[in-house]
Parts: sequence; C-alpha cells; structure tokens
Amino acid sequence: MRKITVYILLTTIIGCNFNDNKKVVNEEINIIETKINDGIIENIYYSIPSPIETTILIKQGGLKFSGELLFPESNLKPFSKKANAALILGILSADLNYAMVYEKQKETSQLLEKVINVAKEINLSQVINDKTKERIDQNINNKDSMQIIISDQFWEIDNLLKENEDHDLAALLVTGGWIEGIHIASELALVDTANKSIKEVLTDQKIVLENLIQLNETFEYNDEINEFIIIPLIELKTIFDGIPYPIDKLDSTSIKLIDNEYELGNYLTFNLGERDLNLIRNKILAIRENILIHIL
Amino acid sequence: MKYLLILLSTLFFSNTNAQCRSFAKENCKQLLGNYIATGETNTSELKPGEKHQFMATFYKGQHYRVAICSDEALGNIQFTIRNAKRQLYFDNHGETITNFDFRVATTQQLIISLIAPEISIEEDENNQNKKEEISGCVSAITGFRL
Repeated sequence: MRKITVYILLTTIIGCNFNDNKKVVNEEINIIETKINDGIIENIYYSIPSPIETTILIKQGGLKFSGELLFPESNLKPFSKKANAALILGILSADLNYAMVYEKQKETSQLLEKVINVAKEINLSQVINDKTKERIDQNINNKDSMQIIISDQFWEIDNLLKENEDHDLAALLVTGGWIEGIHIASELALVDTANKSIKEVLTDQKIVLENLIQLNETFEYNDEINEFIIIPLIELKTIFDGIPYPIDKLDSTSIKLIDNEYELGNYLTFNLGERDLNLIRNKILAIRENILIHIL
Repeated sequence: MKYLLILLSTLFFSNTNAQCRSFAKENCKQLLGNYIATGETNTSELKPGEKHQFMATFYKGQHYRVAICSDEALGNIQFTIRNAKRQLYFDNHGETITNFDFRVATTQQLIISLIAPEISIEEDENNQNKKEEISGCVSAITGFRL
C-alpha cells in the first residue's frame, strides 16, 4: 500500500453573512490508497432525478401554477403496449407533483386517480392504489406530508419496476416525467421572461438530458417510442449542445463547509438566450403532440 | 453432473439477484432520514474487488444526502464521489461512514462509486473457491431535503 496525500480546502464561514469573516483552512490529510484503481470508468449507470425536484425548484423560483399546462387527455384508454403506458405514467406523475407542490387539491385528486389507473396497466397496483389515495386525502392539507408521500410513491414505482426487471419501463417513466417537467418549465419561462431561476432550471437540463439519452440507449423500444420520443429527444440534445457548459472550469478543490454542510465545486454560470428557449419549447411541444397523436 | 452444477449455479445467482432487487428498500432507504428519495437509487451485486458506479444529477440550491449500504459479507465498502472530470470530492476510504450530506455550487453530474474491498484469504485451492463464492448486494440512494 502506498500513502498519498490529499489537500482539502475548507472554508469555514462564521456568522450568517457568507461574504464576511471567511476563514480558509488548508487541511492536510494522510490517507491510505487501496489497491483498487478508481481512476477509470468501466461501466457506468445513469440516473435521472424525479420530476418533483424540478417542480420544487420552479416553485422556489417564484413562478405561478398554470392548470393549462397539464397533460390534456382526460379519457385515457387502455394501452396496448406497456412501454406507452410507462411513458404516460411518467407524464402524469410529473403533473401530479406539479399540482401537489402548488397545493392544488382538485387537480391533485384528479391526477392521482389517473396515475392509479395507468399504474394498474403495468402491474404497479401493489405500490400505488386506493390506499395511496386514502393516505393522500388524509394529508391533503399538509403540504410537507403530501410531498413525502408522493415522492415516496414515485420511488416505490421506480423501485418495483426495477425489482420486476422492467428497467426499460423504469427508463420510460423518468423520460415521460422529464418531458413534462421541461414542458412546464419552458412554458412558464415564456410567461415570466424576467425570471432568471426558471432559465437556470432549464439550462441545467442540458446535463440531465445527456444522462437521459445515455440511459435510453441501453434499451430497445417499440417503433412508436423510437420514432416519436427517442429521436426527437436526440434532436433536442443538439439544441442544448449549443448552450456552453464550461466543464473544464469545474473544480473539485473548492469544498466549503457552510452551516455544517459541505458545498461542492465552484460557481459556474450559463446563458440561456431567448432563441434557445424558443427552440427548446417548440421541440418539447412537438414531442408532446407526438404523444397525443401516436402514443395514446 | 455438469448440468446439475449449471442448474445449481443458475439457482444460486437467481436467488442472489432476487435478494438484491429489494435490497435498497429494505436496507438503505432508512439511512436517508428526513431526506426524500430523488429516485436515483442504484443497486448491484459485487464480488470482492469489484466496483459499481453511477452518474447522478444534483441541482444547485438543493440539499442532498447520498447513503450507501451493503451486505456484511463484503466488508466495509469504499464510497467515493467525483465530479464529471473525475476529480475527487469525497472518499470514505473504506471506513464505516455510510452517508454524505452536501450541496453543489453549480448543478452538475457526480459519479458515485461503490467498491468492495479485496478479501485476504490464504491462497490455497479451497480458499480460492471460498473467495469466488463471496458476493453481496450494494446500494446507493440519494435524497434531498425539503
């Protein structure tokens, strides 16, 4: 075993004002290097965050709820293909998160019913069913409990799909959720053009989309999903590719301890122009249109 | 005899995989405490010396916890977090630390690696077989704070 030395830059911030009284500590730590070489990535798996995170960021950014942005289909027919059902379940779950985070009780209740019905079609009734609805109804006035229940539910759905080896359906579930999240964010960005946070949320999706495409590349889908979802998502990536992401400026030496929590990395800024925003919005609208015409 | 061995080994691996399927739910989720699962959970079956890695997205402005759990048979798992340039942010050095709370200055992808340590067993034929039989489940789960 060989000893290596790692330097960690700890910035201790005293007081509440982050700009004052910064104390920088260079701490030298001796660690033992294991035999395992962790420098090369052999196999890597890709994960996509649940749409509830995006929804919370949208709300934190001060944007308002718009019921018109919810997925329009009111009468969902039984699906002939499980893949299509999984995609729609993802979309409806994102809408459910959106309505729930904004405490829209009527929409939450309606969407939950739709989610339960579609979930049945891909054998998910053991984790999302009428009991879930009862739990949510009992907590409808407690926003925090609702968020925990619904986030947990999304995790349970994803987990059960993976337990059942339905990894392709799990990927389509997050794909549907992501498409709907971007749809909501890009439409809200047009309504509140001065809002910087929504543009940040959208720009951040550049790296999520890269992971999403990598994740989907590992599966073979039916022709409808390929033609109307996956190919347009790859086209959307080319729009996001135009937004500069200065990966070479990422710096792991910046680790700050702020309020007993580490903050990793340095601050980077991205610029999402009006043209890119419109291109993203139009592409997502086209994908949603594809879903309404070809997937439902 | 050969077919019996193949059948037995198939059954063994099917059972092990089945155990790993619900491993995160049964062993890891509670480590999130008051953090809500982001949906980015990864589970794998490892043998000594093997590694499981996944890439997850972390948003600026959120508070995160990454928690790991593993079968005891594997010993203490080395758990690292690196940025997309593979620069090291966190390493538990195979100690018993099983979670890390943090936020990110800029939204970014992080690579989370779980590495099962090599097991030192004397190198005779019987022990070599024992070493090859050792395997276990590892999971990493990410959560965010409301």
